Amino acid sequence: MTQTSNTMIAPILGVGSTLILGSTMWALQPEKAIFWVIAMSFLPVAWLISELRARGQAGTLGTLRYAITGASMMIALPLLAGLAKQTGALEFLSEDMQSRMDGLALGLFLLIYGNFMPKRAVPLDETEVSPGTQQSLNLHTGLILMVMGLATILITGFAPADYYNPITLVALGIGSFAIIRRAVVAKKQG
Amino acid sequence: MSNVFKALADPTRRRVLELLREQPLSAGDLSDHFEFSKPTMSAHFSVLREANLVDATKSGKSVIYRIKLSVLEDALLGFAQGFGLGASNADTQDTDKEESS
Repeated sequence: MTQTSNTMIAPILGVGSTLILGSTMWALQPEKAIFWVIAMSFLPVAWLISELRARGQAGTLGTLRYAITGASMMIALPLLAGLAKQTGALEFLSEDMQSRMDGLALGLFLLIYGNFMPKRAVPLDETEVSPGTQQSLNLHTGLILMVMGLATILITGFAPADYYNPITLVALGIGSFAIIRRAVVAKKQG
Repeated sequence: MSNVFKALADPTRRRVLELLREQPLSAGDLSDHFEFSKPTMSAHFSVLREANLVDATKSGKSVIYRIKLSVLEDALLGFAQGFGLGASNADTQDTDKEESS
């Protein structure tokens, strides 16, 4: 029971924050109601359906809730950035800096998520490769995500206005390729 | 965070983490790599669990330990290992524990 409660706290907080942020944006921009309703209701619905389907499978439920927490952060951050722009909270920043906020938020997310990602214990019977290989794969993936996050922050923060988006995309592409390549090699090793 | 530093300051615990980095191991298998008594090893495992650096899963009669490091904790482990932090201090402590038990 304690384990179940612990795994519920993070996704509840994450999904709750997307609901609050989505509702606020809906109230501020009623003309875009459809967009905000989809943004805030997608995760709770997906979570509810997945939770019902995975009932009784402790390991799967843990993985699912972890994924929901990560996804809620990915939705909450742009919502927060949108809310900050809408309410004028970022007006003290230059227009150029405001346009770079999404990239900086993404970089920060990758940096934090990459660090903690390997810490989550994947149930030993759920890995497609040997547990030792899975551990090494998780650490490698986390490290690459952190490097991608740091690169995104630096490029978005310092590259010229016309170039930061394409350069960031190239950096993210290279990082994603490195993660996928390592996963394929790990699966071949077994 | 101080729990993490305390856990990584001891060379025995770092060696445990190094072994677990290769593959998850049972408490018995881990103990076989050291000459310490079982209570001493249990104390080390307990410190690692408190620092949230390992995950313990019960499997039948044995407890399986697996590594649970964030990227920064892994880097800190490598740093502590590379510089041999706490080696002499921890060796003395372990010897003292062995003698008293």
